[in-house]
Amino acid sequence: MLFQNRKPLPVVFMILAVLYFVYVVGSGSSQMIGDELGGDPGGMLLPMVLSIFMFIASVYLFITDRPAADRKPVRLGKEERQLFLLTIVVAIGYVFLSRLLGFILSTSLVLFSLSFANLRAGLFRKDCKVWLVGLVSTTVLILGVYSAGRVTTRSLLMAGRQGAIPAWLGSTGMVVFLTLLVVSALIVMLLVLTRTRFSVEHSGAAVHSMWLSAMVSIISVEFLYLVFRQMFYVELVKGLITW
Amino acid sequence: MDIFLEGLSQVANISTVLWMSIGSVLGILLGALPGLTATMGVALMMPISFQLPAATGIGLLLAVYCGAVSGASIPAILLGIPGNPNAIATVEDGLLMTKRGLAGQALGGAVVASFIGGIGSLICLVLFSPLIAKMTLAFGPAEKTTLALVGLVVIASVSGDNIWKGLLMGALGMGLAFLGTDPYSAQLRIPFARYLATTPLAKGIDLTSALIGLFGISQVFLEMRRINLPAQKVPEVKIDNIFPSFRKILGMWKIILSSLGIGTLIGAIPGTGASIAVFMAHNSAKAIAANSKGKLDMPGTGVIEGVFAPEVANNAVTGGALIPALALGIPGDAATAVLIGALMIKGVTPGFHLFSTNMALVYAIFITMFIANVFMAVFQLAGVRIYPKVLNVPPQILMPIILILSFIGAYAIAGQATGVAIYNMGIALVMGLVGYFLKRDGYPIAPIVLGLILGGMFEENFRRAVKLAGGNYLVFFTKPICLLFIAFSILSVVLPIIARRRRGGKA
Repeated sequence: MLFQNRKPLPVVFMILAVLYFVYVVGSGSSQMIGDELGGDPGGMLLPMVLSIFMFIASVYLFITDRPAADRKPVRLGKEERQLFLLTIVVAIGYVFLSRLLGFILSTSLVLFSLSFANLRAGLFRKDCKVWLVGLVSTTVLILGVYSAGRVTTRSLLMAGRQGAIPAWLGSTGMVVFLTLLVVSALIVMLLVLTRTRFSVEHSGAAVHSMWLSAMVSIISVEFLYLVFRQMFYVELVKGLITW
Repeated sequence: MDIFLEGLSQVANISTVLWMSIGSVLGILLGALPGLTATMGVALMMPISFQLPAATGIGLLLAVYCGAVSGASIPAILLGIPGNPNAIATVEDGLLMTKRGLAGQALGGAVVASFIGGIGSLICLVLFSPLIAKMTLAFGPAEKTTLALVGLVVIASVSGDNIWKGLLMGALGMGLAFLGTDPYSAQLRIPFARYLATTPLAKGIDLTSALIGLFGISQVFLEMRRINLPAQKVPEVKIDNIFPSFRKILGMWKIILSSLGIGTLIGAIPGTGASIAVFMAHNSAKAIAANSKGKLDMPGTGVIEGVFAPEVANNAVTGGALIPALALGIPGDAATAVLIGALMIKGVTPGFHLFSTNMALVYAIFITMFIANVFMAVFQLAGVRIYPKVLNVPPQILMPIILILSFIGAYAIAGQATGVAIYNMGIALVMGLVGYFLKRDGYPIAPIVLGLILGGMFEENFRRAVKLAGGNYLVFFTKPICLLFIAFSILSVVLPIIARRRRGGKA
């Protein structure tokens, strides 16, 4: 009866506040020796006050904050629920697997899978084959584009160091720019060659979604790699790709 | 003059101009896409700004901020859906103008109005922020403690429709800020310290990752709920006669001045935000038009006056919100809270210290704010026929990209430390999920950010003040400035409660 027609979040906050309070009390004083004389209240006083306040506020919200009688809660459809759960599962998987698989592979797999599922408006058994073909194709293509970019970068840097090309051409900014040009040319070529072949009219909605997701994935991953790794030297994990 | 030139030299380089151009265009695009907010744009760009010199990084964020606020008018005018709450009052007249075949005039007018609002509020920022910062010279630890309290309480009490939810969120943010190492005794303040002591969590929650999670990832989860809704088609409208005549603009001077004043003032009050300012400006414009003896058209009937008023006001909020942010370290809205976070990551603490020790950077911020407004106007006018096409980008593709961008952003903050980077991604994900559930149930996010940012300042000064007073907790009630701030905090909680009770709503 007490929990009827109540929102769950205040209860979560109540539990959180109690746990926080128990933790703070259990941690004891964080005063340094001699601080009792100096007057430092210690590092646990404010957290304790906060936990008490959080408990009071959540109890108040538990009592007063009820769903409006005239407003029905938004119920997600089966497909929306599937997509929502898929996004959460894939996001968790991405955090845990990105170190093992590496940035390029994990990001392209996640982007392709999420885009494909979203474009298909849900998870359907009949799309499994197309999804698998798309996944493999995306992996192969991104590896090709990435490798082309790496070769361009390394060749330019090496040539710059050896004096085979003018120094300005071998500078970081210019190398990133030229690599971007090469990679963009490859992607544009890929787009032009495949656009008609994979149009909705020509190959059906599922295959078109696969193609679109693959392109989005390849473009985004390579662009993010160029910006963060090559321009800002962020150490994006290589994982399975060792080159 | 030398300091001004030093500030100018920090900005006058190709890199800054290039990054600000990119930021401006990205901001307009983000603002134009319904569901994506200016705060989210600023949070997503934080990791890139982190890699750039301070002035360039802040310039990039300001360009995104100004662009996103202005860009929100595009879907408001063409579809009747505001890109974000900043353009909510532009819908009425904007959509009616589109239906009357005046879409070009409405879109162009919105840009001109945004530019006027941005530049006008920048002038106020330049004039007032040094004066306010100077006042803080008299502040000791006790005053700084109560100032942080004001920031927290005010934003908690005005954001959202339930004051208790705001206060609870502020407390949650502070609780998160306290995690990590005790700044005085270096004792670990994290649960399961035995296991977590060797992890990056021992240093506390990474602010950038938390912000990216709260504003970026949570929005992706939220948008997933309506991803299968049929997309609204952008109508085929002729976009011409973009520039409103100079005479027409001059004729609206009263509306412009009143909207500018409202926007700047509302922006400067922590937590109030543009969505309040735009309605006030629109109402004020109606009153001015009613008394104009027919010289001005009545806002609400599909006229340029009704687009100008909210658009001047919402961009005036950008400069207004920066006044307390730069002078006191108390952000005016969620987007400026993220901006303060970016400054703090760069080792820059807003307040008088910034004005007294790094005035060149302050000038650089003023200059970048000016450039951000100029770029916003130039790029939005130049692409006035192109940006509407962005509305056709399906969210089914956009949301996964934003999710990945959020994760990479959280990762990139760690730079070379891949172990820390993975933890950051985890923090962003957890905060994203927390943000999703909170937003879904109507809990405001801005107070959490304030708690995270001001929690450290509050604790440090609280303990210092009590220590200096020999353990006397009543020290906060012995100083006039403290008493003023405490009274202001109490009033900002009590007055909204009384006002809502009178209206018959919830506290």
